[in-house]
Amino acid sequence: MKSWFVNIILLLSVLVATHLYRLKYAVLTDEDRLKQGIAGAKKYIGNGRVVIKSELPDGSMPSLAAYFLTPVMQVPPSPSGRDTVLLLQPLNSADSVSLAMVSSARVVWQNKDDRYQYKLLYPAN
Amino acid sequence: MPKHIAHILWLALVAGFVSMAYYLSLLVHVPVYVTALLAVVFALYSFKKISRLIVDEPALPASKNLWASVLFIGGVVLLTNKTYYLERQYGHWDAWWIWNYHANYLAHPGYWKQLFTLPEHYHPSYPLFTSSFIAFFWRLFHTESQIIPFAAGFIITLLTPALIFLALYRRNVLMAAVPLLILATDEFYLERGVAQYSDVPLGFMLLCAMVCMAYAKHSVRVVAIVGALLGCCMWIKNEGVMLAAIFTLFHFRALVLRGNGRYFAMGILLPVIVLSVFKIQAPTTDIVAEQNGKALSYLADKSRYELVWQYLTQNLANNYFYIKAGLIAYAIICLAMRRLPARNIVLLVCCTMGFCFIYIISPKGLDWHLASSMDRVLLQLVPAFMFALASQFCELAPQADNGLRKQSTNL
Repeated sequence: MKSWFVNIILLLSVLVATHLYRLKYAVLTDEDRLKQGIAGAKKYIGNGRVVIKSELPDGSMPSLAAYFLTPVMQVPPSPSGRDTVLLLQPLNSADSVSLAMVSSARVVWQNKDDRYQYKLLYPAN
Repeated sequence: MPKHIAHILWLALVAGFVSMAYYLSLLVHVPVYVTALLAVVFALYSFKKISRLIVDEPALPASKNLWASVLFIGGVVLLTNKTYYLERQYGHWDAWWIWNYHANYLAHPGYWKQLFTLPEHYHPSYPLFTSSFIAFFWRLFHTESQIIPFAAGFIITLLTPALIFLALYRRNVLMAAVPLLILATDEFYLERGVAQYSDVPLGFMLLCAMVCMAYAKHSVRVVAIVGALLGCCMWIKNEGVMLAAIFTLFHFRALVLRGNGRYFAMGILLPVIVLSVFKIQAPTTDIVAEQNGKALSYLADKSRYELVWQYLTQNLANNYFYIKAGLIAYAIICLAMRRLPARNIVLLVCCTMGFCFIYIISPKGLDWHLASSMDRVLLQLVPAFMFALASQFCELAPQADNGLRKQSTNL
């Protein structure tokens, strides 16, 4: 096989794969929705640590949220409970734990899209 | 060295250089455009140097060439098609938890050093080949587009079986096509290849070093390339250091003795410097940091050996049955022909034992550690195993070659 032939086949394959990838993810995915939804929280967290509490069905969303907010670090809740919390919820959430968290904290930022809502909570003074 | 092999090795070297140069540029506050310029200069220089190693190979019969072309295109099409269904937009868990997350830090000169202050569960001690390579392009193109890590992962996933095929098809088309078609259709390999992890890149670099080693006796420059490729292995993952050490030990005479040592040192020098600088900055590797002197008691614990063996055999049966079948067939042939196994096969078996040893002394919960990582860790050896086995079968298979048999002994 000629070298140019091999190179063209390999290059074509890469072009086709990347083009298909772009087409496949041209639609708004749940991950994109999360990325756009929480983008505004970034300036309130800076490069701090945040506890991410998620009620979304996909278990990977909390760590994806931390990835989208880099350099934010996702940490487990502290024993004192005085944490900055990012809440990821469906629009119609009726989770009692989340409701209690929101009522006992200060909501410094919130946003919602057609499916989910996002809240950033600071510990109440 | 055939042209297409030289081109793939060149790509691997350029990728390694880009990753290391970008990391160093962050340390000395060099603008990304200067790094890009440096990368272009290196790419041109190394292309010129590696082109001198290219030797024209005797032409294959037209029918054999056609047959090889059809199989090669078939393999590439299968692989491209299959990855489409397996790829995920943001890769798999470790992509956004470790590799691309680290890349996010490295892409921002304002806070990249915070990477080393991350808690242990973010694995800040992991080497930065993948992360730095992606961060370079993110920063250069002012984007955080996910297509860059995807494309990088896909290219390596594609080049790995392609390199095996291209290194062997002149000796035996069928034996070369078997690894290509197995990997091009193996969902386990493809899924992890486009998962934006670092296991397939490490497997690719080790394979490059093994393929390159076959040409070491032709030129000392090849020894320098092998050194650089092994250095890249070390810069990809911590276990790459062990793989590089075992590889060097097994090829000690060709790489270090006979006056080749300085060429080998020249090749491996930059990765060793970069890795050393990184290790000074980064926290201690978790497996080392958490030891607390328990390694000896772990080594004496029989149940740990049994558990590791159980996971190893399970993985071979479930995910790498083709390696298991190949090894059994090869062992039978060696016994029947009363010959010693090839050096590369023994090398890879030693690497597998090295991984098992690390698991045995692992301070983490052994069951969890094995369940969460052994399948991926073994994947690092799979391309090299497939190449080494197929290479041996090429030697054994009857073929009506045209003077190509001589080359086979090199591999």
